[in-house]
Amino acid sequence: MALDLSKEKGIPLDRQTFNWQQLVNLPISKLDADAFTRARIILMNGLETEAMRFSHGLARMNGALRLSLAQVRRIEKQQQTLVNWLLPADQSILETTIAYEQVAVEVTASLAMREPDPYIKRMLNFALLEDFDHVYRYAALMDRLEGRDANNILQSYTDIRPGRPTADQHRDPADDIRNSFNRKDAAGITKLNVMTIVAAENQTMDFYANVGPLYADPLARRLYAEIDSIEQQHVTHYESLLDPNETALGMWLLHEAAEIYNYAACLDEESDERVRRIWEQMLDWELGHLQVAMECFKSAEARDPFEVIPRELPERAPLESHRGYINEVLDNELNLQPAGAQLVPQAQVPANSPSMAYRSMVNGNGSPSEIAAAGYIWSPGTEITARAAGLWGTEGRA
Amino acid sequence: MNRETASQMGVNKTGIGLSPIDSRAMLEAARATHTLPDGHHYDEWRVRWAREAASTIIGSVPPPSTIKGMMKSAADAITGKRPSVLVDQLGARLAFERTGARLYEAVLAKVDSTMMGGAIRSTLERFHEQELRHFQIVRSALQALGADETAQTPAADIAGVESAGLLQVASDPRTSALHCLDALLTAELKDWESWSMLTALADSLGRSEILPDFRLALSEEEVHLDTVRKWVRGQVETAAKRSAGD
Repeated sequence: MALDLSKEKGIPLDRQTFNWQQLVNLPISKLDADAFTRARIILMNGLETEAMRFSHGLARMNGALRLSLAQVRRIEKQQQTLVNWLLPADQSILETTIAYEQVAVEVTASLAMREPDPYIKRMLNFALLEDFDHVYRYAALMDRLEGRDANNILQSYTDIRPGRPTADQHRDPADDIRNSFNRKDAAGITKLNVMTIVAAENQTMDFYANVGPLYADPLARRLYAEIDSIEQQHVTHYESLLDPNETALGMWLLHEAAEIYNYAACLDEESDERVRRIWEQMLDWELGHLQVAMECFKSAEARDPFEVIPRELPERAPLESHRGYINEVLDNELNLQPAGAQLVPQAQVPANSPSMAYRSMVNGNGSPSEIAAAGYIWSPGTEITARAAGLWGTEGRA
Repeated sequence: MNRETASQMGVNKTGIGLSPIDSRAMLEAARATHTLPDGHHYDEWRVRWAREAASTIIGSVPPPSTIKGMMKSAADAITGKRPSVLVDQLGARLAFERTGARLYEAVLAKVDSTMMGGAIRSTLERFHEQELRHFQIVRSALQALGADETAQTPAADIAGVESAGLLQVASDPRTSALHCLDALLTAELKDWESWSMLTALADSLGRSEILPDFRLALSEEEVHLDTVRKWVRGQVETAAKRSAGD
């Protein structure tokens, strides 16, 4: 049943307590946990880091709000730890990367499926096909560098095949800016969908930027650099959908509501009982944060917070395998490229497009994503399986 | 002198020997440190945390994926055997051989980038192909047990964590061929030990159908280990003599 945000008060801030033992729980099992439990952990880490990023930014520009922001932000910080530290250490960086891209693909699909604004839905589908390609590129790298099968992480929920080729995703900033929705008439779910995807993409960009240099292999480093650059484009693409006329306090409300939107969905979907209890606690805490943000909003702007956020919380489509939806988008929207704020078939992109020049420049000395996946076709158990059988027969005898 | 043959002397800044004044000041500051009275030490906490996690596992071995495998598994259970142990260990070998094949590819690339090559290269190629054969032997044993050979078993997962550093060494363009051969030596030591254990395990479980192939793999691993060990020793000795003459 949909939550009524005017009635749900959650847990007040002063009762949101923790110690280090409560914050740093035993992680989930990489092998036994469902891929979507891992995906929810990654997604909610993204929402929490976005909440902190926004709060720090606002505090730097608004003296009056500093204490309230700091009080809520302290809890957001601990929530981020509690959630993200559920990831296990035996999950390698590349495996975590595959999981991040699975999040990007499946979360985008779940948002797009219920998105009522056709322009926003088109923009979600557009970047979905790019993240879909990243799964394929990273899977090829992990197979060829480490001899590991990306499907151990994806668990057969998400396909490993090309989307819009990563090499073709590089664009001039002028082709990354979209038209924003109008805050006064956009549906509540539209606002929350955009807030969610901005958070997911921003954390992916930050993750790649930090872990890329941890690899020794030059191709791995370059592939992370290349895809990290695309993730920045995606953050630009998605954040430009937000109405720039929204007030700072309105944005705070939207951040809190987006966390509630997603924690409520996590709670509905979660199959792991221990993790489910965490989602329940986090949802209650976020409802408490929304109370603080609403009080600040009312006192500064003297208007109803529900002019900004929906009173009745919309329900996000479940995080599950969206193979059918994704295949449909692949069939119908793969050939699109932006010309300014609109998407057009590749053939209609003007020859003098700044993105064409930019693409030629960055790919001028070879494309890491093309090198990583040259001739790559995923097969269960990695490429080595077919090669070994070809060399030695099925029994291991020449 | 070049990167491939010698441990070069240079501007390494990691020790205290280069900073006698600063390091003296640091030592004085460290000696002035007051520590809290003895509380629980790290070692005690480690024991406590390990106990708290006692009921938690890294992960499980998946059930057999074929009817034949399920029946075999049930029959083994009646005779008091736990087929999941063999499946887990085979899973680890499968993962290690697969990663080992990629490790050989990285070492081959390194050798190709140097003046080395010749006999070493052709031997490395042969060993690489033999690792692929060992992979296939394990895969076929897993299939015979009705196990899902595409699953990552707990022992396979841990083997991946253990060998992550070896791949980092071999794929780093700045490392020397000797660094890479040393990483390969670590892998081959583990490989030989694991095949030895696996062969004994298969023998003790009465898996006579897979023993000939396992013994073949073990004998090839013996040659790998012996050869790589000789290469590493030879390279170090040659480099030391050249360095002394520089």
